[in-house]
Amino acid sequence: MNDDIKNLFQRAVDDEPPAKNLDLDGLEKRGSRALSRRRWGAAGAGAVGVAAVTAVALVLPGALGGAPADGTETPVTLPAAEDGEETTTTQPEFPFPELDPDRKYMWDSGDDEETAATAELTEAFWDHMTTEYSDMGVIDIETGYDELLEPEDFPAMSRSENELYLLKLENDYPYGYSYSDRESSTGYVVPMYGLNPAVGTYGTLWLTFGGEGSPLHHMDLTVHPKGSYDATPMSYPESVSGTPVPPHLLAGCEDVTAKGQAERNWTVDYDCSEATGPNGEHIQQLSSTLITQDGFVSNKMNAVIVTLPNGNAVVVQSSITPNVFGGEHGDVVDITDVEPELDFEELAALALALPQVIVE
Amino acid sequence: MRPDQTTEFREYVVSRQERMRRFAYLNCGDWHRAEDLVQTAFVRLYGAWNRAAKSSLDSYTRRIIVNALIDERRRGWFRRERPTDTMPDRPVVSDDGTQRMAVMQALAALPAKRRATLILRYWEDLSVEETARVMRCSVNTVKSQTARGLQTLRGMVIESISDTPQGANK
Repeated sequence: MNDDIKNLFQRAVDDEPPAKNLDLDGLEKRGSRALSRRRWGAAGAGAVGVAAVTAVALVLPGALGGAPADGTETPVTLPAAEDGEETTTTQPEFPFPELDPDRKYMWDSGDDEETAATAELTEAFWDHMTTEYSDMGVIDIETGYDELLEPEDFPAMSRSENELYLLKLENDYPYGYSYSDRESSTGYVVPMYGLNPAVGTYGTLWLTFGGEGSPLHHMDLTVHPKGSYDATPMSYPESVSGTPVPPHLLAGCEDVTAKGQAERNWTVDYDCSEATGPNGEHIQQLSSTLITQDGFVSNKMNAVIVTLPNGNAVVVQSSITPNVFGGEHGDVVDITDVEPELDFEELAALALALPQVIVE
Repeated sequence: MRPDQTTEFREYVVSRQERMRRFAYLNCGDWHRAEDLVQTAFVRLYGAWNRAAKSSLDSYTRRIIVNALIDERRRGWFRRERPTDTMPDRPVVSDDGTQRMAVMQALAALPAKRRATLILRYWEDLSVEETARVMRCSVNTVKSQTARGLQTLRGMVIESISDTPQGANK
């Protein structure tokens, strides 16, 4: 039996392509930088945020969207402390650098960690979800796709730092890119909070709202600091990867078609609109539908970007797939006429139900 | 890192690159991604060299690869980087007759930890106890994950290749 399985695995690696030459110097540099960042981070997360702002201001002057035009810091009033006094502090700005319009860029996220601020977000998020969606089940994707998590094991938000990299010029990226496509760092590093530690990637949570036999849902929520983002959607031409162009937080809004694997053509239909929140918050709304070459609807998503009064942005995403929760492997359902569980109003309500934490 | 440690690190990376790449490939099903995973693992190994060197470098590196894979799944990496992975899973179609595709589809159907457990046991030839150390779980968990993983492989792969000499004849 052991030999049978080993032989199966051997056949699986029979098509092994030649390995790329490992850049040992590059590995050491990245390892050394990660080590210093970790030591630096241990000295105080607040210091990292301030230092990052300073470094960017010195090295990369100039800012794109996301930043209010009237200044660099916005006073923020936090919820009243236990002793009844209000705590006022400011949201640091992380001005995004000017980019070369002829080049492409990608984010790379480092290790993530839970902080007091992310714990606040986690608690508020799950309070809202369990109150509003009593039939929700959170799927355990680590040990079995057919099992649900107990509430105490629900995923937590974390703080991460994302570094902006130049992509290699010679490549096209219709289906996204991987870490090996990086050319060099721009030096721009920005913190973010969320269920997902990487800018522009969504779908961390696997949820069921209808129990066994119903289609799988995905959700995500991330919070981005003032100055680091552009709240309008944008993707690279002919890219169906769903990866937005930095500093945009969502891909869209022009429909795209790209040739997929095995000569398949994939299309993403986008639909964008804007709305205003109860206190004047700007809300960017986006829906997308991923369709395969044979007309099969492979993914449908609703997402909003809510710009908060403190200049931060909250991205909330809800999507649905044809895969079935609890079914046999390969079971799928047609989702052409099924919508993601949360509509735009529900997504915005969730974003606005969270505490306005300082992202640093 | 001291110069002698840097030399040790480099020697280790060169000697283990291919082996770790195959391990990563069986876990993720994509050679390019496997290279990314291995690079990520070596970068993290660099930062933990002293700690890792005190136990087992191989175990430590494999553990980083498995964790990075689970982390990528958590980050929605599949949906971001490979649109074809958003395709619904379908039963094995052997239109090109390759057993390789059948194996990889069966592995892809397994949850990450169950898949890694099988690969550690049957590809890397680790004992139940060694596998438990890499996966940081109990021996009983390794046994149950192995049994359930094998059940899936039997259902999806071994039956489909039962007419081949080394299929399900044991």
